[in-house]
Amino acid sequence: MSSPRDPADIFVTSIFEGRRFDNHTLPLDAVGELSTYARFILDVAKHLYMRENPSRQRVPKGFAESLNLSLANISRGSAAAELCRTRTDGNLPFPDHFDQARDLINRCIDSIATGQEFPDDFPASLLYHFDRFGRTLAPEEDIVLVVPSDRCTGVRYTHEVRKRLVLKTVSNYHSKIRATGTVVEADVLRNSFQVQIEGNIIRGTFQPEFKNDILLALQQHDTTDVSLIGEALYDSQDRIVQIVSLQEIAPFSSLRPFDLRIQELKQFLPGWLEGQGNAVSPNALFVADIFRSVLEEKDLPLPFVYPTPEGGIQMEWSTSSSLEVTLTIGETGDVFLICCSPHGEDVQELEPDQVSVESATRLLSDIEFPRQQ
Amino acid sequence: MSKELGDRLEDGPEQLLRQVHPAFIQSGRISSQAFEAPKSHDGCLSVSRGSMTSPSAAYNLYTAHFGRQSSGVCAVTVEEASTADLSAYSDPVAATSDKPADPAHAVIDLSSFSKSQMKKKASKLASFARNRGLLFAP
Repeated sequence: MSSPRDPADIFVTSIFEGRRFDNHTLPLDAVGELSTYARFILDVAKHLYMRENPSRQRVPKGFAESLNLSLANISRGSAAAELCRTRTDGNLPFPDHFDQARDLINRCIDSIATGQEFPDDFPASLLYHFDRFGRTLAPEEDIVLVVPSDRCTGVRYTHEVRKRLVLKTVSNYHSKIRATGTVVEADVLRNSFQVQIEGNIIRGTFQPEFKNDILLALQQHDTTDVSLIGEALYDSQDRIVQIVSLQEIAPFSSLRPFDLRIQELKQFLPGWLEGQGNAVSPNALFVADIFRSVLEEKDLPLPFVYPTPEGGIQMEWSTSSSLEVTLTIGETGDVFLICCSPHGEDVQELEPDQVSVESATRLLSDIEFPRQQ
Repeated sequence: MSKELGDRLEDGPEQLLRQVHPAFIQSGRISSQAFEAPKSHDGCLSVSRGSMTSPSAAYNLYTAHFGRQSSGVCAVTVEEASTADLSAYSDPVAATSDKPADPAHAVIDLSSFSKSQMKKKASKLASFARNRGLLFAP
């Protein structure tokens, strides 16, 4: 990234907010959102031009190229992407169609966010762009669009704002899905499947690379659920209508809330394992809670959790990348971690007096979990 | 290895059936602990030979006749055990006054491994078994 530009060069600053962006980097799908935004600006600018010039059949040659947006900088301190324009006509003293398009989009967002009247100069035919812009963001993630020349702090493009913008003209909207369910049908000819999520059968399509995962999940549907991440079509009541693409499907990822599972383990009485097997020790429960807090804080995949015969707790993760992780908390609170992957094995241990939020964080940070989206 | 074992099993595709205790299965996922040999078993992991019994018959013998708990039966093959550098041995159990014989009984030998090594082996075996799923569940 280059160094920050003159504020006058900055067309808009897109500040990505959410846990995924806390480390001040932009995941690649978020970078893709900037391209989607640029296409949105271009189409609105074309519309504005044609409205001003009704006698013309099309925009002038080179109109699209004159937008010339580039990602100039990601500011330190947050995932704030500065989009700059390189204008061949110099910095004009008045806004051109692209500036007007940017401001009109911002006014649309702001009107929904603040409950004001929707701008009547925004064409309904282009509202579909809101369905595309922000599609890869999770419901808890926002984009704040800041125009440097404005004195305001920018407009906040949230999941709810986006949904309401899309639903102005259509009955469904696209958004990221992260759900658990049971694969109950698969059609490899049509690359389609059906998954039962919270009692509802949802149709979906999958890309060919997920065929084996889908078939495995179907084969094990009577014993194993799946967690899936992808893109889905929702209705106005936020009900899933259809899964349109998959980003990840993990037949063996954890399904049960950690706290609930720990409560279950507390019910294991001495002798639970054919007359042997100790109750889970307070030390193990204490250390498990430390790991729970770190997993939540770092947004890491939840593990499967089992009791150990000695009175400890064992957490296990299996991932689609063939990484097998076993973290055993002993009855005294010691920790034993094994990571097995096709690339090798790694073992780490912590004595009871070494266990802390910091050491647990370090331990889990070393594991190459698939990135949570 | 203090326990005397029978013949080493050589038929790679033969399935070695393993009962899964209810505590070692969550949401259908089998814990690697299902493949850790109990301390009381001299480092030997009890299995049933798939060539001599079926998953459902092995389950019935284990639960109804031996009075033990199982959520179902999973399996690894002799060949898969071998890829984890483990050997399986025939270990038939004779009938007693209150229990029937178990001629299909066999063991996977984990007796020479440390705790850390056993956990790695168990993790590999469990991974093989998960890919196959439960072969029988009541």
